[in-house]
Amino acid sequence: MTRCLIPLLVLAMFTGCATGPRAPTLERGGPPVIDRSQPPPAAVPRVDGRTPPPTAPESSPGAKRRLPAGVESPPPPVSVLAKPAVINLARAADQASAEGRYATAASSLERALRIEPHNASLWHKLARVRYQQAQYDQAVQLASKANTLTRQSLLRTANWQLIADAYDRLGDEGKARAARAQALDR
Amino acid sequence: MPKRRPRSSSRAKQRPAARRTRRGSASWLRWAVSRTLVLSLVSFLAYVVYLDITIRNRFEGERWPVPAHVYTRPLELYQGLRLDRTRLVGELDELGYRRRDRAEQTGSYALGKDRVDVYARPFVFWDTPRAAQRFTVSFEAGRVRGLAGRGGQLGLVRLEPRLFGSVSPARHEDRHLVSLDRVPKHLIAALLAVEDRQFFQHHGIDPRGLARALWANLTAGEVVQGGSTVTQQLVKNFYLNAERTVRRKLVEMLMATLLEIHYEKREILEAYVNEVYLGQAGHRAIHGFGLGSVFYFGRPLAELNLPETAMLVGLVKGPSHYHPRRHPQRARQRRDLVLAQMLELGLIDESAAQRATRATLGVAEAGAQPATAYPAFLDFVRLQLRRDYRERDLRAEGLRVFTTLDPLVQQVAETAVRTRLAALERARQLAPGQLEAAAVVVRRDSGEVVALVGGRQPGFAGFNRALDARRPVGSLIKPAVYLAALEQPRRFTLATLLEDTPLRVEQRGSPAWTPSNYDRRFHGPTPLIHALARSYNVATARLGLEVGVDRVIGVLRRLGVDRELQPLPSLLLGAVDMAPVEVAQLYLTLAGNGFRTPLRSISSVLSQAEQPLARYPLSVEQVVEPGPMALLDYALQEVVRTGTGRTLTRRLNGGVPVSGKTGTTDDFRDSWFAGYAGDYLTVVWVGRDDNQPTGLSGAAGAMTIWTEIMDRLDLQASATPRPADIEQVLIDLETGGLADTGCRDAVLLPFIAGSAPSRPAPCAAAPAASKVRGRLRNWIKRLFDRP
Repeated sequence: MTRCLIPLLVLAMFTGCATGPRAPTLERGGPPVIDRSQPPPAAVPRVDGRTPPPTAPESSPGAKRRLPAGVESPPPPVSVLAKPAVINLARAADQASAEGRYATAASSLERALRIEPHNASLWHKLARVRYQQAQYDQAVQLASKANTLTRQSLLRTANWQLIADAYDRLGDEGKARAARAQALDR
Repeated sequence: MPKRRPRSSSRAKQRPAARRTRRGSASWLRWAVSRTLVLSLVSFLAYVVYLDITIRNRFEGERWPVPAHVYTRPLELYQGLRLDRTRLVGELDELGYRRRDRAEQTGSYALGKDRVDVYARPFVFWDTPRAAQRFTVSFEAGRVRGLAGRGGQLGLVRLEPRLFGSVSPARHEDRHLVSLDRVPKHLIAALLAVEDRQFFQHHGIDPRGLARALWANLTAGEVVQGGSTVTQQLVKNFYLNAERTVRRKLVEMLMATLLEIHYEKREILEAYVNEVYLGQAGHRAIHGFGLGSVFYFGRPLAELNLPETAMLVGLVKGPSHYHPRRHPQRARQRRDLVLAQMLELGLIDESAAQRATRATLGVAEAGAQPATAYPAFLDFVRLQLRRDYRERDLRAEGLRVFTTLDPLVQQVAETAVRTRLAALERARQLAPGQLEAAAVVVRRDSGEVVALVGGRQPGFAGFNRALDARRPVGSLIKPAVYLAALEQPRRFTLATLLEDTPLRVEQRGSPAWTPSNYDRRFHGPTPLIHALARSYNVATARLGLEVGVDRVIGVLRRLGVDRELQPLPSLLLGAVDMAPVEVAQLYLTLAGNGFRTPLRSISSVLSQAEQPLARYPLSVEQVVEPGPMALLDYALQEVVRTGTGRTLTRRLNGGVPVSGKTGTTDDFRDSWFAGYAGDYLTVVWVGRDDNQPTGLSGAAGAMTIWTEIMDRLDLQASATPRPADIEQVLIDLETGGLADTGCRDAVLLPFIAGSAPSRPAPCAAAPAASKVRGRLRNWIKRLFDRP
């Protein structure tokens, strides 16, 4: 009995070798991944029966979706009076947005806003990014913020159009209609 | 058991048993010995298996708890940024960049006339990694004039953020994990030359090295050499305690062999490089060459040169004995010994060794890497982190937390608090050190907290007044009362006359409430805008009671006040305790043009492996309509133009408009100022920890610190256009009626369309002839009024 016990133990001792050295990991049961840019889990009930567009994952370049007219039109360009750094960042954000990398686009816009916090077209672009991420509440809020910062009619129209589209998605027909009226008013 | 057997057999057969017993006892002895041997072998093997499991569990599991490391914001460089050469150099020095004649290595910079050449280190940002990059920053009149890279002009460049603290228990091990391929080759060479020359040949134990050590120890008569291999040292530090016994030594050798059976040399070396103990800073133990490099040289390991790595390697033998700051001579001798051994083995040539030996130690100043450079800000970060992460994750998972702290602004705020408090104490003949203060600086539109000062000794992690000093806010609450009124344009406008006359409010169960004014006088009918700007208590109390305390509480909630509020009349005059950060949250909504956004101190969190875990993006919510907001903002500017803040005479950045409110509590116990201008909102509190009077009003105390801070920030005039529903109307403030050019004290005031008074003021209502007379009278009067 003892004679067979020894090789058994020796075998047990070396079982680790059979699997080969495993890469050590520090990720076991790690901290949670949080994305505070995502909309709250409770979805807004829809009244028009249409399904909201799916949120494209950050890593799907070139994701194409049908968007209402207001969002499909190209974003109004950032004023030529803006600092070159801001123009660069806005361009990078447009590029990232077109490739469906919305989180990166938003991050570039936030950087630009640190440089020019009162640049209304940056707020507008951020509103569009949130719309594309299906965060319609934030799209409304950011476009409203953009409106408080500009009197430029083209940009204001684009903002109201975006607000109208976002309210459409949220199923608030009344507010969508009112916003559209504002867009046409200018 | 062995005794029972012979006894039972002796009972059965007495005689032949004697012989048999002799024979039996011999075989029994054999049997017992063999059993004992087998048993000890089995238990030995079981012990080996146990050690084996221990080794693998630790080596493959979470090897080291690494505290969350907290970083400042990255400095963004771009054309037009308000930054001079000195400040950029300051930032580079803080990042451990070295000044050279030419910036030819990452982590170095060179100075030119009005320019700095920088070779920036690679860095993994949350959104995108940045490779090492060379560029030139040129300056003109205190601003960045241009930014040029190899391929021409650059739009902007981000410097890497600076590590400024960690989330850890009081007594803890700290380390920066490094992978072996990021460790300089000469460091490994030096380490093996000194600690374990046979590392790549032996199997965990080096018998020759052991024999050599034994001989050395015997001849010396004491323990002078360890003879431990790197593997043994790792086992000792990793799994065993520090006792020096033969038994522990045997276990160590056994475990070293087992470790070598399971893992490759590279893995063992990598673990060693990260485990090795290199020093102590208070309760913080410095482990691994990664942190060792930052701790002693203020730079990443990859940038260390030969003498610097030799010094680090020399420390392994005894970090406190060879401590380069306390015992530079010893540290240098030890370093030179390491270099000599490298030369002996042919790892370096003669000239390299000589150059290295001539080099100074090059150790950064002691304070270069304190455990926490900005404890007050770190408190706030911890507070926000704890909402999303378990304490265990924060202390062990090596999270990389990127914050919004701007060290340049933090520096400005700390200096302003320190110098102004000292000046106030001198001017008021107060005992030095009596006054305390707190300050919070926030980006106005995004809610990013860029600086937070918790007291006049910012490096001292003590009572954090910015977060924890809850004090009555006094008049700081008044904008909420006026906003509640201005949201009803049919009832209240900036021109509405309020009664500043004695008021007595009976309260059930407590004495009647009889508010009085700061100057102990009553001012009679007062236009609303002046009542706020001059901070009249009685007029405000009357207005608040007319609007309704509940409505005012509703406004405070919308503006972002979380705490419980008692619906009592005294609330209208600020009988509510708030910490400076809470006041900042409240004023942030006003500064953000009626859009509420949470105060943020964290922008993103990466895992230890540099994978994004969390992002804290900008989000806003409109809680005040643009019309009333514009009116309130106008009145808050009036505070600084003609009201309680009119002593703010210094023109910020060439005339950026300032909106703000002073706050002074009973007997001058608390001096507050909350105000915004350009891109920033700043809230300052001044008072005493024992809550005794200071004699300082909001304007005399807190506002002077506020001005000192804001004047040094890059304030860009905000060009918020007037909302479409706002119209400007000429008003006679004395009567609140419509004025015309005939009225002497007429002012242009903003009104929500349709809310301006339609009744003409007496000065404007007069017939044409008397108007001319009036104008003439006014003209003459003005002539004589002139000083």
